[in-house]
Amino acid sequence: MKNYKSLLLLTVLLLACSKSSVEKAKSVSPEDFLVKDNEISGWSKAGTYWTAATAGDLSTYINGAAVIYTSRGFVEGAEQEYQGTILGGSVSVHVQIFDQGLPENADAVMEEVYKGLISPAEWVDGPGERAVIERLPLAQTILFQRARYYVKLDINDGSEEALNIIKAFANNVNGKFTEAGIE
Amino acid sequence: MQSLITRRKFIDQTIRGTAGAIAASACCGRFADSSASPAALSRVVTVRDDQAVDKNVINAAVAQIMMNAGIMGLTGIDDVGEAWRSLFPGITASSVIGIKINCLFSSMATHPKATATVVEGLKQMIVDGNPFPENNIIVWDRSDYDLTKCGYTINTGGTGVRCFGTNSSYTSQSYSISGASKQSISRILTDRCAFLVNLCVLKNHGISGVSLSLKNHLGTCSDPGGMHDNYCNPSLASLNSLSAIRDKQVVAICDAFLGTISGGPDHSPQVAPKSLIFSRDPVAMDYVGAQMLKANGCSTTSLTGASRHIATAGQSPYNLGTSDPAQMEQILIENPSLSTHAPRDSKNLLADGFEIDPNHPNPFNSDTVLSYSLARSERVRIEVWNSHGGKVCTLFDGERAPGRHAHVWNGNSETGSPVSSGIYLAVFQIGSTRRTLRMDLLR
Repeated sequence: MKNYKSLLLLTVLLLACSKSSVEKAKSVSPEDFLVKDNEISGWSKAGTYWTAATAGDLSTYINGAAVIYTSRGFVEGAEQEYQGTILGGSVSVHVQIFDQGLPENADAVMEEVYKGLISPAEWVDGPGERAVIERLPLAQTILFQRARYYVKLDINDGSEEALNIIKAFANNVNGKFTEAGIE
Repeated sequence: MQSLITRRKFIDQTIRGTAGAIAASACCGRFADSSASPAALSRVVTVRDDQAVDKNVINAAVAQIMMNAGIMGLTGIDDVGEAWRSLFPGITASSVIGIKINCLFSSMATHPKATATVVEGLKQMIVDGNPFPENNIIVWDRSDYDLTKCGYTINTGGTGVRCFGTNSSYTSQSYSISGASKQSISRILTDRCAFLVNLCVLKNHGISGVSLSLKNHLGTCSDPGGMHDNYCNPSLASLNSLSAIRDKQVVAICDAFLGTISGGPDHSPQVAPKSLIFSRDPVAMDYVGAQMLKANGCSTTSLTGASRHIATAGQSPYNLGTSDPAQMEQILIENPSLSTHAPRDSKNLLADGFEIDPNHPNPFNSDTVLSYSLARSERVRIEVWNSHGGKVCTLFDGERAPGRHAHVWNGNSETGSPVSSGIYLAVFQIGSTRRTLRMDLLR
C-alpha cells in the first residue's frame, strides 16, 4: 500500500512537472526573441511587423511564400523591421523568426532557403546550430537555425558596417534563445 | 496638361543620346516608323539610366523620364499622352484603369516612385477632350495592409488617384486552374477596371525561379498558396489566360530599378539594374526580365528549369506571348535623362558660353532636375528663391568644368524641410551672367 501511495505521488509530481514544461514551452513565442528598441544602439522598430500563429495568418502576411513554412511544421512566426543609419544613410533590417515545431523542420526550412542562395558562406562561429551569411552588392542576409527555430535577417546595405550590424542583430536573437533555455 | 517632354524633341534627343541598342529584328529606324504594328513581333523596350538609383534611392525625376521614354519607345508614338492612350482601345472618360502592383514584401515592392510615373503618364492622356481623370485610376494589390506597409496611401474617395486592396473581395465564381486549386479573382479587376497595367518588380523566387509580370497575378487570385506546385507550372500560365486578366491587361511593365537575385522573393534589393522593362507581351517581358536577372548573377532563370512557367505561357494552349527571342523586337534606350538634357543648339552654347535647359519635370511634386552645359570652365552658383524674394537654398556653388551638368532640387529648404506648393525661381549665376528659371512645385 505504501509503495502504491509513493508511486501515485511520483506520478502526480511527474505530471505536474510535465504540465509546467508544456506551459513554459507555450509561453514563449517567436515575438519574444525579437530585438528590442535600441538594444542595438541606434536601431529602432519601424515599418513591417506581424505575428502569425496559424497557416492562414501567415498567408495573410506573406501570401504564397507561406508554403515553405507551412509544409514543414509551422507553429508560429514573427517579423519586425528596424531602421537606423549607416554612414548617414537610412538603412532597414528585417528579422523573421519561425517556430517550426521540431529542430528537423527548422533545419529543413533553412536548407530549402539555403539552396536558393547564390553565394552563401558558412558563418563558422555564428549563432545557433548552423549559420550562413550571403553578401551581395546592395544587401546582406543571415540565416541560422537553433532548436526548432529558423531565423532570417536581412539588411539593405552591402557595406562592412552593415554586416556588423546584422551580425549584432543575429547574436542578440541568439542570446534571447539562450536566456529562454532554448537548446 | 503640359507634357513633361515635348513630342519630336524627345525622340530626336533620345536617338542622339542613346548609347546603344540591341534588336532582334531590323530596327534601325525604330522610332521613325511609328505606324509599324508592334504586334508583328513582340516588342520589348528596356530603358536604363545611370542616374536612376543612388544608394538604393530612386531618383523620381529620372524615373519619370525613363517611363516616358519607355512608353514612347513601346508604342512608337512620340508624345507621352498619346502613347499611353494608344494602349487603351475604346477608352472613354469614364473608363477605369487599374495598376496592379506587387506589395507582398515591403523590402522589395513596386516602388511608389515607379507607380507615380505611370500615373503621371496616364494623366497626360487626352480622352473625350479632357485630361484623363485621375480618380479613374486605381492602384491596387491584395490588401490595404500590403499597400500601406509598402508606402502607399489608401484612398477610396472621389478625388485623387484611388488606391486600395482587394481585401478578400473576390468573385463568387471560382475558376479551374491547371495544376492548382480553384481560384477566384479580385473584384477590383473584374468589376471596376476596364483596363489593366501590370506593374511588377524584378525578383527571383525560390519556387517559380523568377517573380515578374506573370507571377504578379498571384496577388490577383484568392488562393495563391495553392498555385505553387511544380514550380508554379502550368498554374501561372493557366491563371494568366483567364479572360479577366488576359483581356484587360494592356501592358506589362517591370520596375527593375532594383532587384533581388538570390533567395527571393522575400529579400531586400540586392542589385540595381536601374531599368524599366516594357512590353504588351507579358511572356516576352518576363523573358527579358529573367535575362536581366541572369545577367546580374541569378541562377534560377532557366526556361527549362525553375522558370519554366515562362516557356509554358508562350505555348499552346495558353499562347500568351512568346519566350523565343527570335520573335521579339528588343530595344534598349540608355540614359534618356542625359539625352533630354542635351544642348539643342551648339551655336547658343558657343555664343554665350553656356546653355540652361528647362527644368524637368515642371510642374513637379518631389524632384526636379536643373541641367546646363558649359563651353568652358566657369564659376557656377545655383540658388532657389521663393516668390517673395527669400532664398530657399543653395544647390551648388563652385567651379565647373566644360560639359553637361545637372542638379536635383528635391523641394526642400536649406535645413532639409519640405517647402510648400508654389512658384520658385532657380537663379543661375554663371561667370558674370545671371539667369532664372521658373519652377512650379505642386505638393
